[in-house]
Order: sequence, then structure tokens, then C-alpha cells
Amino acid sequence: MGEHQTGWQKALYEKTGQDVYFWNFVFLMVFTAIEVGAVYLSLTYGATVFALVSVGIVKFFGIAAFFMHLWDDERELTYTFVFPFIFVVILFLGIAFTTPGGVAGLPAWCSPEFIGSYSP
Amino acid sequence: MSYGDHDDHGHHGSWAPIIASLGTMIFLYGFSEASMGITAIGLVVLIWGLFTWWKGDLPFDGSEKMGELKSYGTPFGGMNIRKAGIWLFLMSEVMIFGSFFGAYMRMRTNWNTHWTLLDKAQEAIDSSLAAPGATAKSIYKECLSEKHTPMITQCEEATGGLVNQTFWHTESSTPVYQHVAAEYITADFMTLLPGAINTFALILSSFTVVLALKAAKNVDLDPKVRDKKVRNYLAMTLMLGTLFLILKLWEWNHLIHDYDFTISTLAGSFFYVTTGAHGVHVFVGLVFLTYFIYKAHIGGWDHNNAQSIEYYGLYWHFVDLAWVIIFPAFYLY
Repeated sequence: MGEHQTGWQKALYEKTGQDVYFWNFVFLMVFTAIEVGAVYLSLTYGATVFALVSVGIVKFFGIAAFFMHLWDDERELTYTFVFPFIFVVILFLGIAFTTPGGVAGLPAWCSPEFIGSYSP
Repeated sequence: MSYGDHDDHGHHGSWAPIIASLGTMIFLYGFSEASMGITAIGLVVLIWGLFTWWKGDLPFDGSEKMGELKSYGTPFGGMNIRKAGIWLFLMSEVMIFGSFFGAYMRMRTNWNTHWTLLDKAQEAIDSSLAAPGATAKSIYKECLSEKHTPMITQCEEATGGLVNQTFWHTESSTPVYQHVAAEYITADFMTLLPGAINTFALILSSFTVVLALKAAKNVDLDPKVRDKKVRNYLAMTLMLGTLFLILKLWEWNHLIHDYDFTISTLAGSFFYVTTGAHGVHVFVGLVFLTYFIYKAHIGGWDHNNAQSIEYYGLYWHFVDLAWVIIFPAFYLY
């Protein structure tokens, strides 16, 4: 993994004395603390879900991009890894569209074609 | 497929994948029939197939004579075949965990949970149905006892009739409200603690694998120092992985005995199957890691063969990655 260091990663090492893996580790630890803390902040349902999903995306990116070094490896490997997520996204869209209120319950600003009613 | 510059293998036929597939089929059949004998036979055939495959097709030993196998053709042409292979394996793993997660979300969107109860409590306050001065949390506490048993009549009164019988179950007594694991876990910090420690432990273990690989690849280190560093970092990974499993079992024990949250409910089934499948992945990782530590102990790792640690690391990081999704979805949400 160490041989994959690119320009900004070298600069980071020269400036801080620690490589990208160390900083990735630190950020993952901090974001996990935020994740656990978010649940105890008495936030609303929407805000909690937003915090959990946002932190989850950042952590996912940190692990996949740097620990699994997809950031520097051949793009084909990224495509290989991302490919099954297409099916996962389709699955989630299916869930979203078939959940009661999943479409009709969206706020107006989410529905550009909304003209006051979804009834035909 | 070729051995770097030693492409003298024209024919590459092998029965090993078919044997391994047959073993998997027998194993799963035995599993579904709850037959220990058939399951054991399947497992033996599976291990035999995989071992034959490994010995026959992947004879990489780190020496210059027997270099890393390369793949050819699209899309992995020129890449180390083990690296491409592990990524294809991880691709199938995404599908497995994606299906667990998708099934959970499908059910979850149709359940009433502690979140729905809090929303209803807020709705009761906003529409002045609740008693003056009541908060969403105070109403929530009136609806669920300390042991999380629904107090239906009390809850109906506290929410001005907004949360009635139909919130908890249908007329035919089918549960509509589901006690998800997060309801118990987030209610009590001591219940959340094992999962939180596990999250930190997995991230730390991912970092120690990276450090082991860096040490193995470091040609400037004295071989004895290098071997010791690789062994110690891998041993730390093993300890953290073991800690993860111990805490998980402790947490399961707590949820089952203190909250009666068992696999017999829908929410329990999703929780235990998904976290259990993840735990099995951790366990398998630890089995391989034990061999890696032994190899490090006898000085078997250097910059020539360190990529095996890298490929193992990809698997271990994926286990961490799956936990990044499972932890918020099943423990916090």
C-alpha cells in the first residue's frame, strides 16, 4: 500500500510526518465518535438519519479509497466494486417507491411536476 | 494466465472449482436438513476442493522462479490474478450484505418502531392532544415500560388517542410495532457500549493490518525487526478481532436475557442473521490471520510475498466496511 503514495499524499507526509493511512484512521475514529454522539443529541428523526447517513458515507469512502487503496489502484477494480451497488440502488429505489407515502408523502419541493394532487 | 515471464502452462484445466462447488452444495443441503453428517461431509469436500485449487492453481511462494500469477483479457489484463480474484469475491460479498440490508429496509419501512412512537408523541403535542407541558420523551416513557413493554391504555391516554391499539398490532394480533435492536441499544449507554467499542476495534484492526503490510514491504528494516513488527501488528489485529467477537456474544446475551430480544421476532431475526453473518466473516478472517501470524513468526514474510497480506487486508477492510453500514442501521437507527 505504501508504494501508492501520490503527490498530495507525499506532501501530507512531509508536512505532518504521518502518512495518509494514519490520518484516515484518525478521521474514521473521529467520525465514529460523531456517529455515536448524534444518537444522544436528542435530534429529530430526520436530523438523526441525515447525520448517520452522512457519517456512514464519509467512513465508507475513507475505508474503500485509502485502506483498500481504490484511490490509487486500477480503475477497473473500482468499477468491479461499484458494479453490485447498482443492484443495491435499484433495490432501494424499489423499496422507496413501494413504501406507503414514499412518493405521495414527499414534500412539494421534491416534486417538480406536483400540481396540487397526485390523483389522476 | 501466466507466471509472469514463465508462461509454460498452455493447459489450465482444473476440477477443483467443481469439487468446491459440489462441497458447497452438499454442505448447504446438510444445513437445510439439519444433518450434521451431511454438513460435515460437505465441509470436507469443500475444503478439499479449495485446498486442491490453491495448491494447483496458485503455487505462488514469493520466489522469483514462481512469481505472481497474472491475468489476461478484459477487464483485468496484466493485473495480479489473486488481486482481481479477491475483488470479484468482494463484489459477491456486496451482493450478500446488500440483500440482508435491502430485506431489513423493506420490512423496516412498514414497521412502527420507537422512532414512529416519538413522531406520534410529537404529533400529539403539536395538535394539543397531549397534556400541557408534556414532551415527546415523557410521552414515550409513558408508552413503554422500563423493560420496553408497551403500556397500551396509558399510551392512548397520553397521546389523546393518537396511539391506539392499531399502532401496536392488527385486529388479528399481528404485530405492527416491532421492538428493533436499536430501541434497546440506544436507550441504555451500557447496552450500546459493546457495539461502540467494536466499531473502534474494527477500525483500529484495519489500521494494524496496514501497518503489518508496510512493515513487511519495508526493505530498509533488519529482517529480524521486520518479522517481529509484522507478527506483532498481525497479533494486534487478531486480538482486536477476538475482542469484537467476545463483545458481540456478550451483547447478544444481554439483549436476549435482559430484553427478551430473540431471533423468534421479525426484527430479531434480521438483527441476528445480519450481525451473525458479519461475525462469521470476522471469525473466518481470524482463522486465516492465525496462519499469517505463524508465518510471520517463522520469518515467512518479506517484500517479495507481502502482497498476500495486502489481499488479506482487502478482505479485512471489507469486513470493517460492512460494519460501517450495519452499526448505524441496526444499532443506532
